[in-house]
Amino acid sequence: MEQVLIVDPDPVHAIALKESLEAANYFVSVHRDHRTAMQAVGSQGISTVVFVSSSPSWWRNDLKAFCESAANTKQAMDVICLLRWPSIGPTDRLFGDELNVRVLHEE
Amino acid sequence: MRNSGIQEVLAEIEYLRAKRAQAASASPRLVVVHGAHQPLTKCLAGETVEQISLAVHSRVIPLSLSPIGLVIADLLARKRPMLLTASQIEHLLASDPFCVRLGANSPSAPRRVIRLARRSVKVYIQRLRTQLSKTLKAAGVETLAEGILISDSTELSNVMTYRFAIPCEFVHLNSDAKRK
Repeated sequence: MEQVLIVDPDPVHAIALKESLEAANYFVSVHRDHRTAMQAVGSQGISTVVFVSSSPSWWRNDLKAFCESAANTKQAMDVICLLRWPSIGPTDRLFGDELNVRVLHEE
Repeated sequence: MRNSGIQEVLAEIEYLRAKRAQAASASPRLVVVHGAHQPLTKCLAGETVEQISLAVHSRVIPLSLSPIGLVIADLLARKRPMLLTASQIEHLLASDPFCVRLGANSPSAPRRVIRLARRSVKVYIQRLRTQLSKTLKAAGVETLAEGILISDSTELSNVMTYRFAIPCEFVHLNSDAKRK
């Protein structure tokens, strides 16, 4: 079964996302911050990470740090970044492109 | 969380899953770029080795190799499908006309004969595999670097041969083209 890891500091939001993914037959694990998530990435066969952020100020630093750590693992994985505010232009997506991360906004 | 957000995340995961499956089944090929090329010739002495990349589908990912690493990878690609031992690579680096006259067509290219001991050749082979692994990972290809740059044992237990097991394609840039 495809394994998805959710990194989401908001437990309520994380549970909603987890239940939706499980309903679509994904095996899902949830971590509240990217540091603990990286430990899980090293030990499990994670194929996709959904990185959720509610912080317009910090998400770039956090995502970059996560991607740098992920690059050092043997496991190849895709990262999707879900930002919990509406899109206000192409800059967020362009930043994601630099890291090879698909950036989505929650409308 | 709004339902549209969930649907978008699910659609993206499905897309990435399909993309991974497509990439995993792809057969990579090696693309060697020779510079300082003279018209109507191919892979002749005097050319340079500009870049070596791994091509998977439409993606061409350059391997991050040192000048000597480029020459060793180029040698294995040009001599393919011949099996080369470290000792033969050592000998060819000092005697193969392409290696000896490397960059002679280009006044700006540094010219020197590469002399490497057998032990150093083996180190470069390992480094080449490391770069291949990184590139394969970046391309999402499941093939191992050991399956692309193959080591075969000979009847002598301590002598290995090396060869590329994937197709190698040579691209030539004219001598008047700008160097990258």
